[in-house]
Amino acid sequence: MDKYQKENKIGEGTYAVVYSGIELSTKRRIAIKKIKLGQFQDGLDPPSIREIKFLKELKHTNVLELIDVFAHKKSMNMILELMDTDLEVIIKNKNVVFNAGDVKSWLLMTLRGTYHCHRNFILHRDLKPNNLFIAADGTLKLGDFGLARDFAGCSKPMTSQVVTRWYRSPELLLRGQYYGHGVDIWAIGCIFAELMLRTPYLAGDSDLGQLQTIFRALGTPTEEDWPGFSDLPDKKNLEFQMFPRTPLKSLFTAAGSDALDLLESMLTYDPLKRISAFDALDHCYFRNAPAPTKPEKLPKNADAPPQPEKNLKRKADDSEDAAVKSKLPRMLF
Amino acid sequence: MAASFWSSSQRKTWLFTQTQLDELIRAQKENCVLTSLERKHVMIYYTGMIISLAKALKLRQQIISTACVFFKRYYLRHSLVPQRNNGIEPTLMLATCVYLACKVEEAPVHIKSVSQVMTSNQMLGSQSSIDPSKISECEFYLMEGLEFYMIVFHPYNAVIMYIKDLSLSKQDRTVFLQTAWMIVNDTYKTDLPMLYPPHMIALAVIYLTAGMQENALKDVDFAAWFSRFNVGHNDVLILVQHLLDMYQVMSLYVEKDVSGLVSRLRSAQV
Repeated sequence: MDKYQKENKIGEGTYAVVYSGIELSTKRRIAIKKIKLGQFQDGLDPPSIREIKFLKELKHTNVLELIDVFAHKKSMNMILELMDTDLEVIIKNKNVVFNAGDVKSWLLMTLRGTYHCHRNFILHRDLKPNNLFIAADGTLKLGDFGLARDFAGCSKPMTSQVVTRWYRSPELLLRGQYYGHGVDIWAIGCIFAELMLRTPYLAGDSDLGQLQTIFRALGTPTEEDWPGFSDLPDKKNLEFQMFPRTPLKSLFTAAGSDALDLLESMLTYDPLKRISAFDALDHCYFRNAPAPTKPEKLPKNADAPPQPEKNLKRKADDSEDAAVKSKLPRMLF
Repeated sequence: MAASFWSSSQRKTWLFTQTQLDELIRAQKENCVLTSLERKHVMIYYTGMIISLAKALKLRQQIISTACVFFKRYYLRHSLVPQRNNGIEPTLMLATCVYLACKVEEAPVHIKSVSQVMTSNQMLGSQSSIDPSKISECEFYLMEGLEFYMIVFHPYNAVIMYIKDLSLSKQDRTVFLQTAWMIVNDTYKTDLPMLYPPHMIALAVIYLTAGMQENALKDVDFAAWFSRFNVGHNDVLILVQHLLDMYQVMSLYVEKDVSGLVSRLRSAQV
């Protein structure tokens, strides 16, 4: 604890209190998440365990850094980078104007962070603008690994109750239990679209409504588009209206054809045909003009107050979590 | 398994040379009470308890192995002799290792069922029961002891991959895999997971199994297969020797005597 200087309390959750502070040796600003011992009967809650377990192993410019974890006076302290804001706040702030290079830069940083997770066999499972944090120097970092999961191939079934609804991929919505990197890529596709539209792209009002929204926007998939589609657990019980496929160009009027090609490959129905983070990074979109804006030149969210407590909020258990979360009302504008 | 082994904490902070390991163990207080062989036996005793607790909870092998590694990592820097002031007994610690391993491997069990099994199977030494709150408190000390590194890599996947690559007949493969699997399980009774990376252990296990099951390999040029790996033959042989030593130590294990050792440790409170 001698290495850090505690400053103001910036948030409080059920089990933890969050303070801002300074790392004395480097003078950088940090967030201190203090978990009191003996607060819960079942020991540390699974999301915190996941967060510590994965962030201890992952070190990358585009992944939120867990600087330290230590015990001090019967409490556990997690020292994290203090972030200025998150992408959701920036998207919602109508005073901020984005240009094509800014969108490309944010998307690039998101994909770099995600690729780092994927090559380490980790699925994030909760990508959304709200979990993409922006540091003071403009760098985007993936945070909130409370739902993350190690992924060693499609051999073990996993819960499909993950990812916040609007960013949840169709195979999850149909309660597929064998999934992979594709769930994160779908979410990034939704974020990409949201960056261009400045409003959530596929905003369904319920799990079923989410599928309807997706199908209306992208066309109802057939067994040909997506082999194995009809065998997913929930597909058997449901009948879907057949929507035709509308070209993305009609909605994303300002986007270039390279951007739309990348978006389309991220929002591909068949998870096996969906682009990987590696291939997405290699897409011509990132090589074509305009060049991605340098992080320090990206538009800042000047008006909004810093909201670092967001990356520290706690969540319920894996299985319940997404369900609970999707029920939460979301303020849009 | 997650994260790449090469950049993992296991490779960077939890692999030791034999000398480093011996020094760490020598620094512990139980050293005055136990000989080196006796300490190995006590470790086998506690690993056995982890296994029977895990069997009662119907856990997967990988979770059991992770729990064993947690236990060994913790006692590398802590004494097996319970200290008066914080009073963590190895029995409490091993229950906690199992409980935490379940969470880490994403197969959580209820904290009460852990304490119930511990109590009903009479695994506790001096205490008659174990309170769930003790386990949740102990979990904190365990994580601190692990320096909050919780991802453990195991040789199981490598063993399966190597055996597949040997392209044995189906029947031979089953027997071969069973033998190899058992040997891997046995390594968790020792310090080997802290001395060698999982793929090396896997390779040595295959080597040893090949020696035991020559019949299964009659159509395979094992030497040629083996030489394809970019590993020193000597390194593998040293590891095989470790495995043989392990069975030597296990053959000298007498449950009754070790229980005596364990109660001696308990009474040696400092």
